[in-house]
Amino acid sequence: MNQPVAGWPAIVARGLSKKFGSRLAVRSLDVDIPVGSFCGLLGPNGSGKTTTLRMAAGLLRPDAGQVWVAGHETWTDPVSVKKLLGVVPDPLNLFDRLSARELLQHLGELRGIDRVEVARRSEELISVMDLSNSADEQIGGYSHGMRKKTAIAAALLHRPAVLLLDEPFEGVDPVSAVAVRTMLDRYRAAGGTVVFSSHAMDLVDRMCDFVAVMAHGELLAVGPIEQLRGGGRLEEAFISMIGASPVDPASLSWLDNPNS
Amino acid sequence: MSQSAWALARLKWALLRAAVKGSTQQRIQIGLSFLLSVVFGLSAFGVLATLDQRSASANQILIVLLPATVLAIGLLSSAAGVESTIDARHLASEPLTRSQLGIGLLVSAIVGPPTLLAVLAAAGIAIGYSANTPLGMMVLGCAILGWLFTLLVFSRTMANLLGAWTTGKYRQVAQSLATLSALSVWFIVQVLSRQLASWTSQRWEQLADIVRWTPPGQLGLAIVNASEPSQAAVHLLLGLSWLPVLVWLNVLSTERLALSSPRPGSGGRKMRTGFNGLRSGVYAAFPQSDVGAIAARTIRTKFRTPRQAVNTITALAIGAGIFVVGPLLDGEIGDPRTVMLGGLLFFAVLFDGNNSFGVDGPALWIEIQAGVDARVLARAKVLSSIVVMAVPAALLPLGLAAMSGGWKWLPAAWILAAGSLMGAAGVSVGSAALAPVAVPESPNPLAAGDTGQGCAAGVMLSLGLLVLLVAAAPVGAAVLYASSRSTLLTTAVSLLSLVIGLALMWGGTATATKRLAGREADLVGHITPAR
Repeated sequence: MNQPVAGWPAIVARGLSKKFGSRLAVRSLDVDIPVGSFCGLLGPNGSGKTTTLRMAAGLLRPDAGQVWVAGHETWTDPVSVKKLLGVVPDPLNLFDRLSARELLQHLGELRGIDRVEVARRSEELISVMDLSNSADEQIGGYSHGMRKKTAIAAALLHRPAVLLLDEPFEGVDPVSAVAVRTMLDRYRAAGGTVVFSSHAMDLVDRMCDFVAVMAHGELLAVGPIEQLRGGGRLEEAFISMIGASPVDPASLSWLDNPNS
Repeated sequence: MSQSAWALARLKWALLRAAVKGSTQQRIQIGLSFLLSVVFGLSAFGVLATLDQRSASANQILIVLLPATVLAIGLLSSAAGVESTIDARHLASEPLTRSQLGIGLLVSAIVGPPTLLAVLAAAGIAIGYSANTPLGMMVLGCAILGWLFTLLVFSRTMANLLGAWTTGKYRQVAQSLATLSALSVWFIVQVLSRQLASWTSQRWEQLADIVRWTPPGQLGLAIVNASEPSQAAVHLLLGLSWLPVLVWLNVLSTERLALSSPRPGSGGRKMRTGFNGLRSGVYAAFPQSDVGAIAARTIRTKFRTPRQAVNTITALAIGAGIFVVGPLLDGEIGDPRTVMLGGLLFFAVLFDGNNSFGVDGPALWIEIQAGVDARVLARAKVLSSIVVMAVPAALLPLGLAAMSGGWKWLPAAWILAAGSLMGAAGVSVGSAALAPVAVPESPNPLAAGDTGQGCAAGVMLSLGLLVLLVAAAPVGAAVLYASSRSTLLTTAVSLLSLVIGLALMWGGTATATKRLAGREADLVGHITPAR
């Protein structure tokens, strides 16, 4: 029951919708993300990326529609889906009073992984994430980047089939970012699927082979990155899809004389 | 000054209106806060407006009452650390002087349901002690306003100071003070509830003679002498004399709070967790299972989180005290059967586990995302409640036996303890699942927020207690009857408490599981505080 269903894409969404009050955050989203892909979820602020990821992860109930992870429906078979998923949400909300090592130990125990194996994996993850010096200090004292790296380690601990990462590189230092990228590349090469949201076009351009673009809660485009680029740069293709927001030179004229 | 004060008052009003239009939970909290303020306010109005007709010592009582309320509100504020809806720390980067910030937050604190309570109580005093001349009425009005302003400034200053200290170097001192304040309030209530009715007019006079020299006592004198305006005016001036100092302290404490660090662990030295081995510390004591892991995590985070640790200590003190301190105060400890009261820790368990999901906060998502379902969550909370309270439940009867010599009642006491632990743990997890309350993000122990979170939690606590009392009453009556016959019969009868306890534990766990099953993600939404 907790294995990916053969022949299914990593993520399938059909008619996925969510409203917050009168605001439609995600509007009838249909998407298929293939197994083994490195998918970048792009969109301007407020486009519905985080809401989509949270609905797929089972952290936010959709108002309509369905979402499947590796062939299991998130809201009717949540336990199977959660066993197959690793998630880094935004905001992070970790247990501030545990240390990184304790958090990994705790999650390993909840996921039924052998204690010795949890200890081995934790040690390696902590080392790769450059958290060794702080691994036994309470997470409440960590910087934002350290918290993010702890969350990424927690998401990888159980070797999930699909990783859902919301802005995973935001706040992470360049050296750690390279380590995380290398780790994710290796994970993907072994058959894992990564879906991550980001505003960093060059990062998505370099890492992803599959892209989904959202705006105003709707999916504007989805497919292999080469197809979306159309021979040009991803950033140009993105802006042409979203529509640039030109600034009228006459507006904001009060900014011309600071402190006057 | 006035512009920033009005801006903050409008902001507070907008936040309260947003809460009223917000989720059902927020509406219930605000509604309860409004309702309780009106109910308590009307009660205070009734008592104060008719005090003169009902007691020959009305004047002395009022002179004692005004300083007593200031002291009580100060202790409560430092104990509950009532977080303002507007967090001073969010305003630290605004171009406000320390006075603008302090006064502005004081003005904004007036906006809210508790003001209704204060206004109704003030109206009761105005009617009960009305003067017969316009000048007298003016002095009376000023004295009442002075008392209300004293209450406001004193309570906010105490809350600010504790709020700031709990993030700094002396956080342990601050947290100890908060615990002490909570226990002091409770102890004073215990003593007063037993002795107040027996106080003679001579006793009231003695007390009034002592507290009349305090500024609120002088305000009390101004009120009771309002018919003689010249004399009352002198008392009024003396009563108001400390307000500039108090306001200055408030301004300083608000600035201190605004510049303190809002995140736990980031304000002082880093604390090592002392990890050793594969399953260290409290984990080693639990069976290796998802229920055991969450129970162990709950205990670990509880005792590392000052707010929760203080809550547990207070729960124990109050829970044990309800049945033990009362008899001690009444001199009934000579009865060896008192030992059995030591087993009745159900209020402590209920108080401690009342909002067990709410105190976990939004971090609970990580356990739910790891595949934990409602059944596991409910069982883990029951297990952690029982484990935390098991040691005091075992030791308290021992202590009472040593004091009273009632060693032969120990077996019955321990059986009653086991029953009360199981029953209360079940009811508390049911209550925690039915009404999970988001706790404000604050390092301040017992922080409750001023948009009704405390009221909602208090109502759930009262309902839980009612369920337990109804369920335990037959056992209590049977044990009391049996204890007049023989120890053996009492021990046998006390086994009934195990049956009731098991039934309540099963019922509470089943209720929580049914309530949360398939709604685990919604639970995380409910316990995520608004930012």
